[in-house]
Amino acid sequence: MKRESVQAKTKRTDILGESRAKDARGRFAIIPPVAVFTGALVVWEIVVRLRDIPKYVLPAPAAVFAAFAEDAPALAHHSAVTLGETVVGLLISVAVAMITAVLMDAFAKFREAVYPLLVVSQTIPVIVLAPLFIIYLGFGAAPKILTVVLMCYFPIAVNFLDGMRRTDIGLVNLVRSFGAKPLQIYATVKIPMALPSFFSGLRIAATYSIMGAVVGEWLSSDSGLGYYMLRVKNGYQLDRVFATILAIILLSLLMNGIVRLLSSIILKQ
Amino acid sequence: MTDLKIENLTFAYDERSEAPIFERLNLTAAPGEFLSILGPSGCGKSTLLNILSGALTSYDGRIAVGGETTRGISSHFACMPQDDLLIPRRNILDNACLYGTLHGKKKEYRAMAMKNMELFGLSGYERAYPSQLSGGMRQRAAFLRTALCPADIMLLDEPFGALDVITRGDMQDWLLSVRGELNRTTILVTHDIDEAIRLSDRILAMKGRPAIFAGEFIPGPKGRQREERLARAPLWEKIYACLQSETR
Repeated sequence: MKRESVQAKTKRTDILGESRAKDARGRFAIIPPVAVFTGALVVWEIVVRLRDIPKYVLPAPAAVFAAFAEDAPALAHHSAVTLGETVVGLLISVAVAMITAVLMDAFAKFREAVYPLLVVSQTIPVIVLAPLFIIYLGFGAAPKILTVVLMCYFPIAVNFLDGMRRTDIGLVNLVRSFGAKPLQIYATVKIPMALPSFFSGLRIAATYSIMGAVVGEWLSSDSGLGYYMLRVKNGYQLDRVFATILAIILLSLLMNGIVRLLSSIILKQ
Repeated sequence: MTDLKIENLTFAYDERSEAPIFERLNLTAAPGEFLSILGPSGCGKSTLLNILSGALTSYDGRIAVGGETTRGISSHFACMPQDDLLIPRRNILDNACLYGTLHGKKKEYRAMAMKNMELFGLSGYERAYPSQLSGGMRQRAAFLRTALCPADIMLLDEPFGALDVITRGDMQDWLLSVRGELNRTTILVTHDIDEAIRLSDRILAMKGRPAIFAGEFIPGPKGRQREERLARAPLWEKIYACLQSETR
């Protein structure tokens, strides 16, 4: 017994040691992509300056950052609109994806009927469907939210379903032999065991989500980053177009970061 | 404590394409008895436990616990599989009282689990997560979870099969020491002859297709000392010969 306790303590130390090493590796992992990105910016800046490329063709990074700083209040306003649509769309996606994934896991006939259609639906570009949404849902936030839902639903639903289906059948049978009812099996075993897969899907969806809202805004809107991007593009203000792209990237990273934080809290053990 | 009676059990995974796993198989276990079913891999030991635990229901014959016929999942049986199957994101205490959680008696079962932590060698590890424990400790936590089920009969499906030989010996010693406290009719399936001899009141050797019980053995000394191990050797040889005759 004592030997096992020692083993367990050693294992715990090993786990801690391993996770510290992993943390250290994680901190340094950011260096290579940052170095490459900075190098690309420097080359870009030099090329634009040496060849004297006009701003309306290709603005230099310094001009983009200047436009970003100058437009910060407008970008913040439009970002808030896009972020609002994104968050609502993502939450709806999560709810619908979780419900349909549980139904597909629980009822094989439902899965056989619906899953192939879901896969086929992913072959249709969302940008083709977006104009239809405007016809059906008008010019408000609804078509943009629906675009986000269409982009985010699939990765969440598929990953969550996959996680539930990969749950150890022995564990499911064990809980069933304890007298668990179907909903209890999901609450106790299947959903908790599928959470890592769920968060993998959510991370992908969160990264796409801002893009979904922007695509919706391109087609009809009077605010949001998509709308702003079109407006400055039509004025050939390419430094501001790039500044808007930078804002979209930052928002996408923010969404991804929030999901990562959430998953690290929930999947702590 | 309750007895178990299996009468004329017939079962096949696919009736059209294969010989049945069991054909009119009979078995009885007395109240409080520790019965081991020993046999080579694939002979049907785990299938028998799956039928008893209710995971498989398409069989012919009768299973009776305390005279009452049962089929499918029932509260008569609590199963302990080879893998500990602890839920990773629940701590040991929460895993141990899983039955209580499912039946709305979490508080009551937490108190029972806490009372038994010492007996199961888990004191101080109540809040630890399965990934933080050794294989033997996880098996004991799984054992505690099974023991807390108010079932009449415990079904142990090679519970120490995944452990190294030393830890397995420690776990067998521990199980022998807590057998009295568990106070249940127990069916153990294993392919480890020495484990069956050490733990059981009675051993049934299963073999063949359809499976039959080819031999019944009553074990002797249980200890791990050299003399006791040597004293078990003749019985070990007898069981081995019984099982080997089928594989030749």
